[in-house]
Amino acid sequence: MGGASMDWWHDPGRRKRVIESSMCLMIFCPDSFMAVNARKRLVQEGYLSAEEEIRLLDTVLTFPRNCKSSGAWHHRKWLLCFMYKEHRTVPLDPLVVEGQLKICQDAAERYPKCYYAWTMRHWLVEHLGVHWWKASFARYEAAVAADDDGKMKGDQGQKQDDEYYLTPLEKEFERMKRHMERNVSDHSGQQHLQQCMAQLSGHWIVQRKVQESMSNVEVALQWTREELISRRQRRRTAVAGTRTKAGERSRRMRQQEGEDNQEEERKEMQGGARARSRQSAIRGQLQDLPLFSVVSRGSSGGDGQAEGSPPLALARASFPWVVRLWGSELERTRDMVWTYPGHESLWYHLRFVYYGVSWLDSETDAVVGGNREVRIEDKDVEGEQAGDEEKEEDEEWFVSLASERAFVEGLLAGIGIGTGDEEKAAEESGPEKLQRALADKYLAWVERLDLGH
Amino acid sequence: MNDETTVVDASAPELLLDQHVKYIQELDTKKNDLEYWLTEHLRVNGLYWGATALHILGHSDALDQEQIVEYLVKCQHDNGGFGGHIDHDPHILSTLSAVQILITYDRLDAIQVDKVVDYIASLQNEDGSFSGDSWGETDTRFIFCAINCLSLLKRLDDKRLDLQKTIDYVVRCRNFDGGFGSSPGGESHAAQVYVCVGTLTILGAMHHVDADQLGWWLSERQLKNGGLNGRPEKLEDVCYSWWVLSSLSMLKRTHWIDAPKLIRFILEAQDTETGGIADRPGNMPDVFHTVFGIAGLSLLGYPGLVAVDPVYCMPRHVIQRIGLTEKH
Repeated sequence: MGGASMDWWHDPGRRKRVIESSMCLMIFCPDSFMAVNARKRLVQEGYLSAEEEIRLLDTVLTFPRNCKSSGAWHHRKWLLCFMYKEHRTVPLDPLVVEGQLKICQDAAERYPKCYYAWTMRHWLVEHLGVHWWKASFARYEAAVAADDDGKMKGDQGQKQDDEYYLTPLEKEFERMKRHMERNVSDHSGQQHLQQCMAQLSGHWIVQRKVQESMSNVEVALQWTREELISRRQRRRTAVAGTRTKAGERSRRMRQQEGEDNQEEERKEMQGGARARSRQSAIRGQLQDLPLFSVVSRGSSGGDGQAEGSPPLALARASFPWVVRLWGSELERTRDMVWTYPGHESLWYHLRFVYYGVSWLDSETDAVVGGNREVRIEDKDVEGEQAGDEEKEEDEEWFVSLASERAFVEGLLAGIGIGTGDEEKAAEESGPEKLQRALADKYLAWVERLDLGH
Repeated sequence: MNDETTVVDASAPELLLDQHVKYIQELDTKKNDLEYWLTEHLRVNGLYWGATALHILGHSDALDQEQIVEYLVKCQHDNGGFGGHIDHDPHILSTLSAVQILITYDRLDAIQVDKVVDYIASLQNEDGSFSGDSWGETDTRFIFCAINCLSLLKRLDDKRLDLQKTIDYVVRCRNFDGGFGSSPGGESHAAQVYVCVGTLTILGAMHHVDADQLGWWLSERQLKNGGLNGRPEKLEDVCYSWWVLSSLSMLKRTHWIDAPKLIRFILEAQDTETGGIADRPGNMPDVFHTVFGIAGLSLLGYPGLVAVDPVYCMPRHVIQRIGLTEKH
C-alpha cells in the first residue's frame, strides 16, 4: 500500500483483496497491525459492518493463542467505541456490557491469565461501575433523608429502574467469586474481583474523580504505604483524644440511664478478646443481613431486612455497607487460604483485602457522627472506647499485625504445624511447607505495612 | 566488559557464544518457516533484538550494518513513524526499535529525526498517555517507547509534550502491591513494571515508586528453579530475566534475587544444537528470548559480556557516547 494508500479502499478490486487477505491475517495473527488497521479503515468508511466484525472477532478469539493478542482486544474495543460513539460521556448500556463480558469469561477459560482479555473486562466493568454508583448513591441519599424525616422520599417506582443499573455489577462480582473458587491460582481473575470491589466501594476506598467525561472515570486505587501509615497514625491520635471525652460522657450516660449491664459488658470486652469479637460481630451482621438487598422502609420490612436493623446500614454506598463488603471478603479469603494450602495467589489476594480493610479502619473516625456512624457490635464508636484505659492499641483496629498473627497461628495449628515445633517442621512437605512459607511472608508484609518499616 | 568477579555456579553450562552469533545471523534465512512470515510485522523489532544481542556478545560486526540502515530508511513513513517492515503501517514500537538500532550504529544521519519527533508528539493523548499508533490503543508500553525514543533523540524538551501529565498517568497505573499495570487498574506485571519504572527513571520521577514494596514484589518472581516469572503463580520465562532484573537494577536492588541460580537457569535454556535461547529449558529458541537472556546475563555480571544499560536495553557505552546522564 504505497503512496496511494489513502485511496485504496475506494478501489473495488483492491478493496476486495484487502478484505480477504486481512481476514486471513487477522485469524492467524491479529497482532499484525497492518491487517487489523485496514479493517478499521473499512469499518470507518462503511465498507465493513462493525457488528459483523465483532462477531468475526468472537470466532477469532476461540483460538486460545489469539486470546492473548493485544491487537485482537483493542480491535474489539475500537469497534465498540465506534458503535457507541458517546461512550466518553455516556457509559455503555448494561445490557451491551453484559454481552461483552461473556466473551471475556470464555477467553479467560481458554487461556488462563490472558492479560488483555482481563484489561478489556476492567474497562467494561468501569462502565457498570458508573451506573451502579449513580443508582446506589441516589438510593443512599434517599435513605439518609428518610432517616432524618422518618419517611422515604423520591419515587418508589424508581426501584425497578435501579435494579437494571445495580444488578449487572453485583452479578459480575458474584461471578468473580465463583470463578475464584474454581480457579484458585488465577491471579488475573482475583485482580479483576479486586476491581469489582473497588467499583463497589466508591469514594470510601479510592480517590475517584467522577467528571463529566467518562474517560476520567477510571478507578485508581491510590494507596501508598506512606499514606496508609499516616492515616493510621492520625486515627491513633484522634482515638487518644476522644478517650477522655468519651469516658466523661459514658459516665453521664450510665447515671442517666442506669446502664450497669452496658458497663459490665464493656469490661468483658477488654483484652485480647476485643479484636476477635469485633470480627465475629462483623460476621454476625453479615449472616443476618444480605449484602445486596433492596433498601426500603415498608411496614412489613419484607425484603429480607432483619428486624430492628437500621436500614441505613443496608444502603449500598454507605460506609457501613462498604465495611461489610470488605469484612465479608476478608472472611471468605481466609477460608480459601485455609481450604487450599500453598497457593501464592490467594495469599496475594489476602494482602489486598487486608490493605483495603486497613484503609477503611483509618476512615472510621472521619465518619463518626450523624448518618454515617459505624455500627459494629451494635455500639457506636464512642461508646466502645469509653472507660477502657488498658486496652491494647491493636484491638482498636478491624485488622492489625495482632489479628493476622492470630489468624496465621490458628491456620498453622489447624494443619498440625506448631510454631517452634522442630520435629513437625522437619516432617512438612509439599503444600504444607509452602503454606508455612507463604504465611511467614504474609506476616512480614503486614508487619512492614503496620509498623512503617 | 563485565569483570570476572561474579560467582557463576561451576556446574552451570557454558555460554554458547559462537552458536548464538550464528543463530542470529541465520534468522533471515528461515523463509520456509510459516513463523517467519507470521512475524513479518515484527521484522524491525527482530533486528533490534538481534543487533543488541550481538553487541552484548561483542560481535557487533556479525550483521551487515549498512544493509540494515538502508532497510530501515525504507521503513520510515512520510509522517515520521516507522513500520514493522517495508509497507507496514507506522507504529511506536517499531519506531523505537529503528531509532535504537540507528543510534547503536551511530547512523541517525540516515533518517529524518525531526519527523520522528513530530510522529511521537502526535501520539500523546490528553491524559498524558501515548497511543501505539493513530488508531488509539493505549498501554504503558507505548508511553515508555515514546519517552525512551525522545530521550535517545534528546528531544524531551519539545514544547508539544506535557511530561507532567505523563508522570501523573503512570502513577495512576501503580497498584497497591507497588507494581504497575498496562493502564489504571491493570494487573501488576513485570513487563509493565519495567516500562513504568523506566519511564519514571528517565523523567526523574522515581520518588513515586515505593522501592522496597516493589523490590519485594519483584524478588518474589524468582522460583525454586532459579527462573523468574512475570506474575504470581505463572511459569518461569527467560525474558523476565530482563524485565525483572532491569527494574531491580533501576531500584538499586539487584541483590534481592539469587544471581547464580538465575544465571544457571538462563544458560540451561540455551539450545545446544542451533544456538539461541528459549523461554525455558527444553523449548524452541527465538531471537526475543535470546536477547533478553543475554542482556540478563550481562546485567548479572556474567564475565566476557559487554555491559548493558538497564533503562534503554542498549550497550552501555552507546548510552555514554550520546551523553545521556547515568541515572541508574
